[in-house]
Amino acid sequence: MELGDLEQLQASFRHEAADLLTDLGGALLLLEQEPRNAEVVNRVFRAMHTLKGSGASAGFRRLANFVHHVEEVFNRIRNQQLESTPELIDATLKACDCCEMLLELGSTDSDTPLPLEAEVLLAIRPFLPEMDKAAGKTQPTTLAASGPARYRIGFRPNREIFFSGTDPASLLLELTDLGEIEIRCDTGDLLHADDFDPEKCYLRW
Amino acid sequence: MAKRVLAVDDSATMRQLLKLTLSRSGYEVVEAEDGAKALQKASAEIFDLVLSDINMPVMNGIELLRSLRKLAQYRFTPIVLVTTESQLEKKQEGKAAGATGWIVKPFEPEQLLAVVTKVLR
Repeated sequence: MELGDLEQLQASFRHEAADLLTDLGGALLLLEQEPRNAEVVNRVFRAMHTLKGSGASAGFRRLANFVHHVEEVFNRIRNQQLESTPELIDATLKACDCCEMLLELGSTDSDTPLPLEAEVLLAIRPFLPEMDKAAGKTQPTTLAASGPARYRIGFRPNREIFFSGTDPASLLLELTDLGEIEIRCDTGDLLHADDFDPEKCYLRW
Repeated sequence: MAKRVLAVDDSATMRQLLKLTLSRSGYEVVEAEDGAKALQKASAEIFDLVLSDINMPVMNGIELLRSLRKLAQYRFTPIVLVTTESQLEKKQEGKAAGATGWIVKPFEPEQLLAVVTKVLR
């Protein structure tokens, strides 16, 4: 992406994020009064989701990584796996303050957490136990070197595959990008189709 | 004639990214901020490709997808969902609803262009 485009995108995101954070503040105060209000929970989740997705796309990776954890907590609340608590609301309000700080930092790659960042992550850790597991995950093992792998693939698409806008030929063409391939077509179903419909797929590979 | 793309996302930043990337490669991009507005535009004019976020207010991406597939002019149109990594479980739902494919954000402009070129081939 050209530098001018990136700067334009980042300016756009800063503006959008400011609006989202203002809306979030109001939604969280409402949620404090009505912890089971599904519409407000969804509003908070969507705001976090946008901060994460659009922030990452605009180069604010640090912000996106931070918001991801808070978004996941609210994803679980909207799926009724968790309930909103005053402590969680407090942590999320602090998360909003932290987002403003991370926006000021911009597209930094620094890993050193801000004090408020660390405080928020500690506060939501009880709601996301896998945060502890992820911190202790082992290094992946190295596979022993071996020759090229060979695969035999049977592909029998659903007869209605064309209705999804998918062309099986395109999928087969993609496979040729992965290595040497031999493709054989089975026309058996086509030959035996009494009610042939040109909009359906009778072939398999 | 330039291929027409409908870019649907409630984030102004994402719509801007899609428009910047695709218009520089010769595509004509029309924006919509939610599924309902996208459905209105798609009903009024023809698009060659629809790129849609999933989580949106009013009408989400899956609902938009189902509604578009009911329209004769969009039965075979490529419709690509734009997801985040945490929504990979939505892939099955999108597939069942008739999605052509998906792009995971954040994505590099080259990745977006590669997917768009592929589905419009």
